[in-house]
Amino acid sequence: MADVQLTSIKKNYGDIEILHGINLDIKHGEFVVLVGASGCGKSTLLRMIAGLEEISSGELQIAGQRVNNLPPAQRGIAMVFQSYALYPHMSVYKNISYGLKIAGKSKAEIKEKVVKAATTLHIDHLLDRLPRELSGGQRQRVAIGRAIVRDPNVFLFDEPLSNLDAALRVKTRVEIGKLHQKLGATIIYVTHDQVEAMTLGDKIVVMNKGRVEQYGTPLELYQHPNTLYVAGFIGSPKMNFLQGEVTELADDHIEIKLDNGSYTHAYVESSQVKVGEKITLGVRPEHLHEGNHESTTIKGKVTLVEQLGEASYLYLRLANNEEIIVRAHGDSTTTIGETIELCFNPHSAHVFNQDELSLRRTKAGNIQSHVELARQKAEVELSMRTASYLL
Amino acid sequence: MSTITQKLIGHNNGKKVMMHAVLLTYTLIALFPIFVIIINSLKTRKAIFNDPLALPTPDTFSTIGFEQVLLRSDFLLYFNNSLIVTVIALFFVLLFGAMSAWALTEYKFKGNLFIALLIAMGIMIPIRLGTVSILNLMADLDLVNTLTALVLVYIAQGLPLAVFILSEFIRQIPKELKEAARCDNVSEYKIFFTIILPLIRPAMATVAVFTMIPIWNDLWFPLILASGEETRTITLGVQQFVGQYVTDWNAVLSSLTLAIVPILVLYLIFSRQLIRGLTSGAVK
Amino acid sequence: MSNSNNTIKSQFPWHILFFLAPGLLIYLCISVYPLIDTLWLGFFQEDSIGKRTFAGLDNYRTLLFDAVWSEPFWNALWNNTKFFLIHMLVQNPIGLFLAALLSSPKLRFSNSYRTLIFMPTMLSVVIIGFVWQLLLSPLWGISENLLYAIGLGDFFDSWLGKETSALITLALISVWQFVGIPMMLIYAALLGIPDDLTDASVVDGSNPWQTFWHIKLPLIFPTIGMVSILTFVANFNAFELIYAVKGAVAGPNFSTDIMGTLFYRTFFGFQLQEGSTTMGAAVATLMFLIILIGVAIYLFLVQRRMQRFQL
Repeated sequence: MADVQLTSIKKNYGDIEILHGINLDIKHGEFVVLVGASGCGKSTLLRMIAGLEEISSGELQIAGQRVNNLPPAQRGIAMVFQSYALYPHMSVYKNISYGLKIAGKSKAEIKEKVVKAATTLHIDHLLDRLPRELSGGQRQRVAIGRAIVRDPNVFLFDEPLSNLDAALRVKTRVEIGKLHQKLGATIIYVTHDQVEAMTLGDKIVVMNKGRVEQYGTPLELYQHPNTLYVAGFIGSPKMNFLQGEVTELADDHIEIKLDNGSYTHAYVESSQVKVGEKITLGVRPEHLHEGNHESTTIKGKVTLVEQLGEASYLYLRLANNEEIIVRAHGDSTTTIGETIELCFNPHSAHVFNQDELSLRRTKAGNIQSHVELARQKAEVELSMRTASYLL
Repeated sequence: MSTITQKLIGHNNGKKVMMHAVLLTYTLIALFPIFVIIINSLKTRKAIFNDPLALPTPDTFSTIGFEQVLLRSDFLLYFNNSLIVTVIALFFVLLFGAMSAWALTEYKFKGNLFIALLIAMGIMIPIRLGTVSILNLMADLDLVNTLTALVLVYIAQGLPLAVFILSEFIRQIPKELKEAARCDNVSEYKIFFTIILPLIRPAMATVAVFTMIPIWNDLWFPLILASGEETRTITLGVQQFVGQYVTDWNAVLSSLTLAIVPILVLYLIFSRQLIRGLTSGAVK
Repeated sequence: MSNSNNTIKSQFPWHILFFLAPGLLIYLCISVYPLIDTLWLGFFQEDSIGKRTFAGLDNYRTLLFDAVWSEPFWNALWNNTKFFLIHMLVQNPIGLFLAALLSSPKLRFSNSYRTLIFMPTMLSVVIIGFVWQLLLSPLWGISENLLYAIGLGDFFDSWLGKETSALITLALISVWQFVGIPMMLIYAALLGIPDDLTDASVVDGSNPWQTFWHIKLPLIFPTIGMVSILTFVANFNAFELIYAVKGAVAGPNFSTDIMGTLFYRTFFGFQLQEGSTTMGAAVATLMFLIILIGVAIYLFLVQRRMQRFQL
């Protein structure tokens, strides 16, 4: 397993620069997800790490070695492609063993490695089949098997789940997570799906238009998004953004008048704004509640109700025609057309200035999403395990 | 580390240079003969032999070859004949080919599969094999030495491949288009001529390429069915002319040039469409 | 797809007839009927006044075994086979090689190369035959001088005029002209291979040659098969090149005689022999059988071995 370091990586196509100086420090064994909308450059970046695209400038280091000019096979990487890229005319066995054959390994060694990988992935009974005789999920496992036998320092995954149906996607996602635990490999994983990013990644890189918007753990990105883009990208449904204006500055918070008429305050460093400045207030749907038991209230008319059983999503239109989403209780009885009151704890609010940068928070909000709790639990477990080794 | 880098970069460039060298060499091999013929057709007889590879200079320039050709034979007539035969045959191959392809792919009827296979066989079995009987047929119909005979034969020759390629294309037209039109009570004839035909234009271009070239360049049928002076095509014309005046190098070179240049010009103008037609339709 | 109009209008589907009739009629009259007629004619013999009598397989016995007739026949068949083999061994590998080069990613000018290399294919075989005849002529001396220039001067000979080399020379001229076709067809097939298969093989450590040999070549086998059968049919149907350069007698001493020229001569006759419709028909029938056998073998192979892999 190896560290991967990107320093000022840029990519030009002719005169057009599409990656503007990417810096990333990935530690060995980490599962890092590159996430972002289409066209943000994540796939290009992955291909550059793989060696399938040239690096226009900057330095790429794998296991401490500069690999800018090395061909993919010599970088210690293995890649799983979005379309799996299985060789259609070769059996599963031949597909997995192709790279080893090229490298000149002995037949015995090849057989051992292939059977081992196939058994791990539960495809050992398919070794004689052709790709076209396999299901999507099976093909994907063959692609992963092909990567595993290379014993790479770094695994690269290019949107591996996007060709699977929803149920299979969840199942495979879990399997990839378990595979990471088992192999302890360094994984760089590209996806446009933030749920995949949040559940699989140790660290997430949110990319936007060829730049890294933020790089951190899922918890960090969720709790402390640096930019409006990251705040709106992470978390589903999307964070609600309300326009407002700063009315007063205090020591540990600022007073805000929202355009929809409500008044609230936010715990951010007041030195970063001036009175009268326009700001955007961000509140996640899961931090909004029906009723008025929290200090800040908003009134709105319900335009749509989506009932999922475990929760209900209420779509509301506010006085100033802004639209927000609220994650209400599963058995909420609110219906379309009702005008209801919502409330939220100002501790859970985010504030963004006109440059779409978030203001530094003085107090983090209550964490209530399930993802959040799971993360916290995992971290606690890890620290307990580490502590037990030390004792 | 740096030596590995340099070696790799050098290696990559070296490979590219090699590839271009090979391709350039072969391109020269492909073009050289044609080039030599054309430049020498514009030189005096002495210059042709003295320095074959030299371009015509003011001293060596001469159009005597062309003059001889145009004097001794009716090249314009031959060209016209080829043009008429090719264009008319092509038109009907496209029209009847599309109609037959439509009938065979769209409608279910007894014998559909049999007829389709019968026509498909025509792709592999050359029409020339039946020449004995074709000549008899044309003689009986009093069509020997007419352009009509050639047109009919070329239509029959071009139909199988046309039907094959167009059938594949028509099969890909979404069912909904046709069903919607039928719901609106549009007649089958109208559906074909106003909806289907425009949609299969790209495939028609492919068919045109595969049909035109063999017709224009054919020697066999003009030789056997229409060898008279009035109906001579340009390919037959060149063959007869060169056979007759084989010692007159100027004339021979000029006649070849006259046959080559129009095709080359057309080819260079339409090369992109042509090649696209070849590479899209043929891959089956 | 059934036609709903059937029940509404009349019972008889006139429109099917309308669409199918013109093409089918011409095809039946000028392609199918003459071929069947020719096959039938091969069973007859004609005397000097044109009266035909049924002769069973006599014509074929004559062609295959009779001293006077069978020698030209087997000679032409063998020559045609040599002609075909030269195409298979020279034309198609060169076409494959050029296609492989042209399909390299990021190769500049590949369009121009393609267009220019394909140019000779456009021209008539007749013209090409004459062009090369002039180029190779000892009188003009172009090829002789060129060979001297690259040090192979001793190699030059009047190849087209010699019995031992005429056929091979003509075959190579034909190869020169038609390389463009396998090049184009294979090029198109190579383009159809998804890029990420190449990427995967690069990540697996293949160099470009290994990728070509192990990955790309197997995937284009169907196209190579098609090119082969097209070459076969075209070669056994060939006529123009030999006729233009050597005339119907296909000299020197019949060394360039192939099935097409044999057919022509048998049917129309020449100095040594009167033309015979029925023998011509017999030759044509044999050509038909040869081509049919080739096509049958190809279809059999395609069905069984070469699978079109889902890409």
